[in-house]
Amino acid sequence: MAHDATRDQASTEYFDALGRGELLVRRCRNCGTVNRADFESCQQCHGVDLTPVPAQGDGEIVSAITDHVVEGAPVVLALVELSEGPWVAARIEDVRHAPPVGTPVILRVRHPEATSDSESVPAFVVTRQIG
Amino acid sequence: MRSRNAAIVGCGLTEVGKVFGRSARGFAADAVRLAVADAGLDLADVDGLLINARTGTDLDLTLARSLGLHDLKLLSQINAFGASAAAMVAQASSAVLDGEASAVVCVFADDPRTSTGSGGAAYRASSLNASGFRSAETASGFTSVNHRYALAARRYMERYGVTSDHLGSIAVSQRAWAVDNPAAQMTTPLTINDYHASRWIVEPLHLFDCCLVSNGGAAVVVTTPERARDLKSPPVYVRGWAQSHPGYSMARGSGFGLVSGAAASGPEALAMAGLSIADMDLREIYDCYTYTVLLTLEDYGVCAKGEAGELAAAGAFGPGGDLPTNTGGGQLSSFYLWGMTPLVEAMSQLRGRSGARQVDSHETAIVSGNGGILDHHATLVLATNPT
Repeated sequence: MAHDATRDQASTEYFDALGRGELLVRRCRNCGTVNRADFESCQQCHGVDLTPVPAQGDGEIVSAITDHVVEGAPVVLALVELSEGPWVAARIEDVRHAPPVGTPVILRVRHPEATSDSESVPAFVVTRQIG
Repeated sequence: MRSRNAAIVGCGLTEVGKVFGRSARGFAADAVRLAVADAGLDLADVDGLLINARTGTDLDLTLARSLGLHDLKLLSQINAFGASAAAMVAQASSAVLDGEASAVVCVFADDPRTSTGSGGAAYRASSLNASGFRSAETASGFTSVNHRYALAARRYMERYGVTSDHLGSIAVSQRAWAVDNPAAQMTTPLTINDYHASRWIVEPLHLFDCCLVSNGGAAVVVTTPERARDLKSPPVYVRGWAQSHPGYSMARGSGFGLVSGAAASGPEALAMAGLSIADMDLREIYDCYTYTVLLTLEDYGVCAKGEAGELAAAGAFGPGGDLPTNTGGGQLSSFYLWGMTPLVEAMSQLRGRSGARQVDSHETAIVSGNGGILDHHATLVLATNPT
């Protein structure tokens, strides 16, 4: 990874989970809404009692883009809507061009090389091509 | 509709673009002096100063002292990124109408360019220096604002069937305006083929979908309608304003990319002015990307969602078109001074000072500001008639 992912106090649990291959989201104990891991209060009810839970890992593409510049081969990046609802901005691996909206994907966490100080980060792969 | 409206009576723009040897504070000081002189006032008449600066520059509240301004009644830094200029004018208008201050200068200046680089690096710092949750996105490849806007644009394009030709038509139409703007950085005519041939920044965004990076400063002076009548320049009245900060949930159902704060703040600002979108002679739209022009025009109700691209392709927004838009070339082709770019052009046109690019009907303008990744929106409705 050209840029390292680095933990801070708020994201320790999140990066620990990614190291195990899990992507955490935060379920509201008040209303059950599943929120992004970086939200401090529930988007639905503003409740603050949010419990970290691993996402199932399946989702679909909300929007995808192709970066032709940053590395030798094209890099595809996307907003992925997890089946629980939250969006994650992450890389789509093993493709050379942005897939269409609605393409189903599944989590495949990227772990850093042994020589890197970076944390693991979420990434996804396409499970079925559409369109 | 209000019975008494604040007026913009002075507008100052420094040399912009590849201008070196000055810092943001220096450009800001020049812009304030130019605006005050344009109004026919002295610095001693100024009793309010609102400042908008990019984090990391030397522009801050000390500008007041370096200009020798004493006993100010209003002095603040405001930051809603690209929405700041309109937000400053709105606050200044309230202040002068309420009697809190009588002559308030609003200023923005920036110095991202160096003589050896493009200047884009200054705008990547917040991504590259991220830690915690956001650093996972940077490590994945989201290294600039361009990536975020590309995601928004792609979602919009897929939802509404908007094409690269549509985006490119905005770039072409705005360049056609810039050709006749002496302040513009880009004055070579642009064709749709030039647009398609320009390199990818992040697909679907080509180079010519993205705004310039500029050094320079701009300022305006806001005062009461009573005082405005006695000054040398024709006043431009601040008839309406409104902000909207959508707070995208970035989860299922989020409107990110599809609708901006223009949808709420445009109608609200127009209602305050007692005018409709169809009454606007000029549309000066925050165009950090071609895509934001299409999105904002639709959200303001110029046309239905998904239809602005076809209007652009038909030439409606360019010189000679029915809906003159970004008549100085905008941030894409003239210069990038955040929300001051559309405001400065609106002032120029409304006062009939736009020379070869002057639009025939120039009594009303809607001016937009857009900050963050569509997170912040501010609208101004300006008119030459006081009420």
